[in-house]
Amino acid sequence: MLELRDLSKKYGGKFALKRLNLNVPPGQLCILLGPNGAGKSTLLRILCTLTRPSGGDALISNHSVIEEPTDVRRSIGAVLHEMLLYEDLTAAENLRFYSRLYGVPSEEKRIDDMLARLNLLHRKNDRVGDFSRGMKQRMSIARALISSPKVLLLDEPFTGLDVKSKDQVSSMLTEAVTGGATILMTAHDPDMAHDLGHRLLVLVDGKLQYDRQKTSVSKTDFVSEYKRMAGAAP
Amino acid sequence: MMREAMAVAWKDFRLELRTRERLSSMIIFSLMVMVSFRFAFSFFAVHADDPARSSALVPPILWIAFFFAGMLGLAPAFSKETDAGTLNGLLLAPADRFAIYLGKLFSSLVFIFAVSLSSIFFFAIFFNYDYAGQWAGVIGVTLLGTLAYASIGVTVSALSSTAKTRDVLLPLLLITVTLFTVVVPSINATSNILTNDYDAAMTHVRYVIAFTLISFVLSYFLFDEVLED
Amino acid sequence: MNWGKRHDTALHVTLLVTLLLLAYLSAFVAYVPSGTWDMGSFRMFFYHIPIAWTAYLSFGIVFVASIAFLKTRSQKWDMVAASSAEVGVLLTTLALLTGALWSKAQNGYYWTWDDAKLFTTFILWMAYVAYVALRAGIRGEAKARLAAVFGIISFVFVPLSFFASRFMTSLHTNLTSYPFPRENVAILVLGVIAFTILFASLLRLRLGLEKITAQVEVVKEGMEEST
Repeated sequence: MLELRDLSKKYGGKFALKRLNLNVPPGQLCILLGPNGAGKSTLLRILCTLTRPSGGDALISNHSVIEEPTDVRRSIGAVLHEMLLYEDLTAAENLRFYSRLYGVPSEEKRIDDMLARLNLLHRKNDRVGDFSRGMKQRMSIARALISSPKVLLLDEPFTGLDVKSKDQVSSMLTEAVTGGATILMTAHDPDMAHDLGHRLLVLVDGKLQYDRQKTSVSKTDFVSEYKRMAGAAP
Repeated sequence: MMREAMAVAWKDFRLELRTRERLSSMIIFSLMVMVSFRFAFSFFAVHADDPARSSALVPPILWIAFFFAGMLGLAPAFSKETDAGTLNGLLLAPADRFAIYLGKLFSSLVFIFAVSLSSIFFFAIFFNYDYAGQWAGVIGVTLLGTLAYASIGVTVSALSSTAKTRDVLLPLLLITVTLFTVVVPSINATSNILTNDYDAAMTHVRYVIAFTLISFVLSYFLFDEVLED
Repeated sequence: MNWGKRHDTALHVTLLVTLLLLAYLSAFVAYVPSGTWDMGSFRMFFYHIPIAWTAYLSFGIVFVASIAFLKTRSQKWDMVAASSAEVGVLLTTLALLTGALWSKAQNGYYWTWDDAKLFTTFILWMAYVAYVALRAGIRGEAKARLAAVFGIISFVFVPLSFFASRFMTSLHTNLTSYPFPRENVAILVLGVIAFTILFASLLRLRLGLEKITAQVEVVKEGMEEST
């Protein structure tokens, strides 16, 4: 579903990503950890087709991000650092816009559905600008999921969320994965990562230093291993 | 393509209805330009019975107002998206980049037309002028001219939206690209219409239309490059 | 890139150009035409034409380099476009100035909007200034790409503006009506060649500056990394 082939990205003279290789089958929830500046956000931006790779390629649902970016965009839903929400529009209007942009059928029903699942239905006709941080993040996820994408790319989606919201989002993601979606998510917290994810990846200094299934390593081992890797980073 | 373009345009309309930022600044600006000219030219009161002088003076005043008010309409088309961080939302859509251009063009045009048309009426009131009865002609030329202006204006606005100096850069780029190609021919065409010289007016109008087509073609090929990373 | 060698070549070229220009100057001093033309303004003409030519050439280079950059994404083409634009601003400013001075001596006025070539050169000047302003206002990766787009757009619009102007202007100072001995044509050609070479060496020098600046940036970044 998601494949990296010798993927590299260079900014100026420096390599942010160095010949990454990865293969993620459908129905897998991968969590990508790494210290700041490791290149996690850069990788996500390339997968979202917002930036071009300097070398190699990435394939999403068998479409190349270089050759077929439009097809890639059709298969993905992305939650990035920016909320991608129009503050002056209501929750419903925001979702309506994105539904039309993605050609989602029976949009009204879908919008109501999505808002209900993220516990935002009661704020359907309120300005998004008036929402709390947690609500905006949930809206952002609603926006990403509205087109029922096969691949979800999330950049630290739990930032600023309270425990209740975190649980809601986690269950949504698990649900999506059970339904066959592929998820690549970046995170900072190895504890949460081990709880939620199927596969754990660690990116340090532009290289994939670690790639294990959750079931093959205990949480404590993983947490200490991660601390060691992150601590040793330049 | 059209569906996505219309979605973008609809979203811009909804936003404008909610905030009324763009239209209000454009209309106020246009009014200010009219009033300034009214007093700057107080020695040259525009007389309906002096067609030679009016036809020479009125089109430039109108088009200066259209140019700058239009710019106020074009600047937020992309700067608002860039500032709010929502531009990536548009870029992530599985649509041709040209759809974004069309959507923005459509919404900008509606705003610019609205303001240009109201300016024409304000002008008639402030200057006590009835365009020698040539309302249809003047409005027609205005519509064609503003279409030409916006067709390259949207691309230029997108170009400058990420620059730190965009407030100064946009007028500079717009003038370079539209002054002699859109503004001057439109002024000439309007002048000709006011003196009933339709043949001469048509030469200029044909030119403006050709320019609009060229702008479309250029934007079609280049817009991808303007937005992508 | 061995800049030591290039430095010598640039020096040789500059010397050649200086020699050509000196030959140029002395040559036409010997051919003062009788009658219609005033000496001072006549000389200006021999500078104005070559300068105007190189100003237009420079913009053509910006256009070609812009297209090449968008096709290849090679930084080299962006540097060529940037350098050509900066040299072009200078040349176009000189073209307008020499033209204005010649016009004052010849016709009694510095400027007229009646002249098609004249205001096309003015638009060219505005386009250059706008291009340079655009480059100055944008930082980072986007600069080269956006500048290239504008380079293409403005190049298309300069002749478009010229066509628009044809509807309402008279011809540029009609040269064929002036007495123009054959020797002067040769001198003019010499002048055009000399200025084209001067332009090329200016471009080369400016390009060199651009390349060194890029290398410094890389070194700077490397230093920031290690701290």
